[in-house]
Amino acid sequence: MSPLSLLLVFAVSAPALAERPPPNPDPRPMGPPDPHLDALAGASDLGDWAVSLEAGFPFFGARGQVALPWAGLNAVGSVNSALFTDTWALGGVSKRWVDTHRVVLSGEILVGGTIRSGDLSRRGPASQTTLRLARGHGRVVPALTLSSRHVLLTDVQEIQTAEGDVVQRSRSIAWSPVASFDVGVGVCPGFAVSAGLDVPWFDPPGFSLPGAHINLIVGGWK
Amino acid sequence: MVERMITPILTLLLGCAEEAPVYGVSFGGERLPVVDMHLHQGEWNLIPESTRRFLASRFPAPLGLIAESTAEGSLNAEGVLEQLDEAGVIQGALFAVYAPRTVGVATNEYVAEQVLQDPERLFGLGSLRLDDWNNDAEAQLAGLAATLEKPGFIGIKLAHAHQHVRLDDPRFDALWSLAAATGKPVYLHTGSSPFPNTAQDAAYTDPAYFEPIIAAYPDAQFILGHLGYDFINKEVGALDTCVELAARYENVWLEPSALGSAGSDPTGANLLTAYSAMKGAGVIDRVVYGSDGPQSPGFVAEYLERSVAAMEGAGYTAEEARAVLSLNFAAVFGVEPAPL
Amino acid sequence: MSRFFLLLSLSPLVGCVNSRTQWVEVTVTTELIAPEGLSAPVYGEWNHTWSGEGELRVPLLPFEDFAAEGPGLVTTTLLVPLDGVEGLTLYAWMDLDGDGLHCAPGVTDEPAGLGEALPFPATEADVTLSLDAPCLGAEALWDGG
Repeated sequence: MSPLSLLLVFAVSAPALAERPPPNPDPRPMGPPDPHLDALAGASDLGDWAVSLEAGFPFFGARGQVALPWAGLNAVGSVNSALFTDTWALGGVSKRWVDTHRVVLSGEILVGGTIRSGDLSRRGPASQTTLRLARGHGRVVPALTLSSRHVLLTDVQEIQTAEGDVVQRSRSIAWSPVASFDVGVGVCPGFAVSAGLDVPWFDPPGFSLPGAHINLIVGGWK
Repeated sequence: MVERMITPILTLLLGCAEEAPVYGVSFGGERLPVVDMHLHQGEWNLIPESTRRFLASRFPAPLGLIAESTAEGSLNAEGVLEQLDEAGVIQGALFAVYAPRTVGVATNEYVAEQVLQDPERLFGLGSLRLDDWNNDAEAQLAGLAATLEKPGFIGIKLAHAHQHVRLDDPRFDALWSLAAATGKPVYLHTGSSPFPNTAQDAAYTDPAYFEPIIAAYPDAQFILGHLGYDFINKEVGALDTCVELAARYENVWLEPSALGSAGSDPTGANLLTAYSAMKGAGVIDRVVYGSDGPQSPGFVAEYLERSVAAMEGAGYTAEEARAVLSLNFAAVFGVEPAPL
Repeated sequence: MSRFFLLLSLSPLVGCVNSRTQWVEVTVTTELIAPEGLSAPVYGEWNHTWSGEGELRVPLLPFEDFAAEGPGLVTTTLLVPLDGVEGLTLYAWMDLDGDGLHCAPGVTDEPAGLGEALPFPATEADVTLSLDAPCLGAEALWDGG
């Protein structure tokens, strides 16, 4: 990304920050934040943030979210790696679509890139679309997460021909969805843990082993 | 570092527990010892890149992401012995391989080191490079001859399709003479192969092309590996040719490895056909059991299970099964029959 | 601001090329010379003359089929990868009995030959192949390059 484009990004961002809309009405009762609900639901309430650290098989990762003052959106950043070999660095936005006292449903769109090393190496710009369904506003929060991950693979052939050098590009999209089921437990205000099972599908249609993980979740007021 | 973390995590997840191995299999009410004559080991970086990708893509994901550590955990002697223990196999033979275009290189020296890890249970089959034979035949033969004198080396392993050498290539008289003179049987891969860059033409895969050599060297023992199986189309391939050669020549032995795996023969029908054909031709006294493991965790045990089921399905008696699973190995390689 | 830093941190990853490979499109003029009086379809393979490194370095790695109606001049255009391989060598044999097999058991007269295309890498190369070795595979004709 060129310095000019960085300036453009900043220029686009700056007026938005200045024109902050009125706070989104919070449907939840006032009280201490529920970082486990926020993290597992994929989006925090206005004024809140959450960070989760994940460890398990095959995934390790970190994810952070912070509520933005527009349209109920959260900014999300995520770094996730399978066996420290297949790493996805993504950023984007999430939003709670449904938020009742019993159920939270959120959607999330992230973009970024992925790098896989080793014999099955690949790299390219990537995206991830996620639906999260969490139950609860209690101490124990079960949650289901469905993610659809895509990577754009661009292969370049540089060909010497009698007429001169030719560059050919072929593009393909690789899909690797992941489903997870978590149960989060609030330990104390601002701190929670969760444990879950993962059903990844690395290179469909091949078989993938299921996995498991634990999360440490912290969160609070900005 | 990553591998050290992953193994205990996998162990926890899979709930593995250490148990004392129980050797042998039950067949017809008897407990029979088992020797697996076809096992591979080696080093990941001596496999060509295209084959590493092929292998990694066949591991259950995400283990393919860490294919090197996944493979090396089971490809050394320790890993092979673990698989043998799990399967109840008392002894096994490790193959040296020189097929740099296809499945890679596992040197004689490496195999010799691995055999020494447990000389009571592991044997070795030596091999040699064939790709520059017109220039280095003498050196290759001398290296092989020296290897065959090392402890535990009982035979010679060749794979014409993987080594890109025609089965009727007339240049190897000295090799067949060495096999005959030393009494070391020659194991030959027959049939096609799924590995990238394999020479799949009939001259490299069909054992019919090898018949003139079988006939010309009656004192050399030849083991036709995989029974000429067509691994590409998952069909019996040159099974009939192999069985006919065994019926016609006393120096031909048969080894039904790999063809009956879950991947190559999902229903088990082809392995049953193979065992039935060998019984029908009256050549059970020259069938030598092998798996082609370790391939993936649990493969050695699973292949033995499928083979026992095929023998039962084909109506083998316990004595016939005993011959296939251990006695014929002792006979062809001139070693003591395996204990239970 | 967070959006700014997010985009900044992700920007190096976006636009990555998955793989970049070098190739040459070469037009090879092949002269197939058969023993006098023999004429039949010719089949074979184009090979990388060398491939691999260290213990995996090996001659003659086939990568493309070859076919011609008979002896004489044949022009072929090939797309040849250049990464990790060297040279271009043709192996061919004449199918005298029309069975599609080179010297099936019992057949002893189908001639074969091996020749290196030069110069390479280049966009134009020539190779002369004498089909004069009955029933030998490419490996048996390889003399060390």
